[in-house]
Amino acid sequence: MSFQQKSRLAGLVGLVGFAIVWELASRLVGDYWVPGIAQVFARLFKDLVEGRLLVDVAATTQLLLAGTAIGTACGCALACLLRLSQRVDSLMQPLITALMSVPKLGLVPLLVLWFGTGWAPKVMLVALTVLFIVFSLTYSGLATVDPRLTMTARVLGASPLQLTRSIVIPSVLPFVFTGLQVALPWAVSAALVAEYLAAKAGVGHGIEQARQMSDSVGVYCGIVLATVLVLVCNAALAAVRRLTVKSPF
Amino acid sequence: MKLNMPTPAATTIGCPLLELRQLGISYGDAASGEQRWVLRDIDLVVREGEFVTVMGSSGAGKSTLLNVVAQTLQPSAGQILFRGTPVGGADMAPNPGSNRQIGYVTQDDNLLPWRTVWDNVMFPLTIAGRPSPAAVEKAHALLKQVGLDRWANHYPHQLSGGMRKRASLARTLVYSPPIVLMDEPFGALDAETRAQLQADLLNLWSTERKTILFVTHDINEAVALGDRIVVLSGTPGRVVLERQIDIARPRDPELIFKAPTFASHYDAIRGCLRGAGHA
Repeated sequence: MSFQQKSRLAGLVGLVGFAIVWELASRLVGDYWVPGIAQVFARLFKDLVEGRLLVDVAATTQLLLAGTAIGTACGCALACLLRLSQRVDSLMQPLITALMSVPKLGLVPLLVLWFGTGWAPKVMLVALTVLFIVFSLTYSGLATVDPRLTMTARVLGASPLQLTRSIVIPSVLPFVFTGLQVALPWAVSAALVAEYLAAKAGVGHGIEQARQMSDSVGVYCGIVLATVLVLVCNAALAAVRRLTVKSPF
Repeated sequence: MKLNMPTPAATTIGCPLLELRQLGISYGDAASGEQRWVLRDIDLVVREGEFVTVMGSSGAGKSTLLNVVAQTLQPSAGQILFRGTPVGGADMAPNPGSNRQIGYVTQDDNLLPWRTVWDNVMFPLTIAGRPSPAAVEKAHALLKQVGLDRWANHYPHQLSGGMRKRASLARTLVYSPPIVLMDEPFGALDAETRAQLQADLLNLWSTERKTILFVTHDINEAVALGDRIVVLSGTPGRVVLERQIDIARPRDPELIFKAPTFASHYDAIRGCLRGAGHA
């Protein structure tokens, strides 16, 4: 049996173990606290057939993609700006450190006050969550660009743009992807919290509706959906990383 | 790789290609009296097709000299002329790679780890625009010449140290710079690989007819490769010896010590290095 097959088997054993523990817990403490697996998956199937599930997943995915894209772009741009200018770096670092320490989920009421209950505050919350994580990793990544490689490229006649394209971006890209992988579960959490407070559709909205009706099966369905969303996004991210980061390490 | 070197008569050395006039480089502030010279009053003429080896004790400024010539460092004094035209100096902003007249092989191979050997070799050509079919053909020929044609699709980390050096050399020669600077390129390799690469370099030099400025701390290597040896003194580095190597080509770097005049060259250089070290 190859190493990959062994890993897959170990993963499967882990999942089966988790399902057994879940089912035992359900029987031990009752349906209200921990609904059974069959109940949760039956509800998910029903929601899928009725079309609600896809609407919710699509809404959350859209929010996640838009917020992550904006947060990543801003995080990378900010890191580049600070690395390019020592003066701007000195000026902005204390402010950025202070902003990073603010719990992003605590900003939801403020964002709702400022931007209402539309799409904007939710996207902003996801973007803010992603921004600082991607910024930190990109900022560190820019410091690791090998000066010997840039020197070589300069001697070969590379322009600043070619230098950026052929040396800086390939050096920093693995850091950006690591930042995204770290940020992804936080981004999903932020999207769910934003949807609890102000949304007409979405996985978070579904969880909140179920909570209001004391429907623990509905809440568990939301949690399962959110977990699957993180796993799918992570797999998609890993695939994009394999395609774009050419480093064979 | 087969050795195919010219006879001594076929080795032609032309007019001055690179001239360093009163070149110096210093760090620190002159006004506060903390200026420290690394190189000073360097006068050196390298002729077209010549293989010049530069030696010197540790800290004599050998690598700094190459960095100044490659224009990755600005000199604090003096002037650099290329074919009689000033291209760098204390009063000119450094502009490395501006005219692609210089190839630079550093101590590290500096291959881009995310590119295959082929993409690394093609890198200088793609920087200049879309490579012509002739340039691509030349890249293929060079890869074959350095024995890496079967490794073209491999990444640098999949190659041995010697192979990476060969790839680095092919990358430098692919855009045909008239002069190639080499900073202890074989220093970190084992003796056998080093000897093989020295032979390969002599072979490439004989076919490509490049002018080479080669820094080394190994006297055998300097004598085996160079037409002329330049020795730099301690701190600040100054040229204290220029010695023409009269050993006939083709030379076998592994058996260079058997050449009749080898001992006299060795003693002269070693004596000079010792003197410089104690100065």
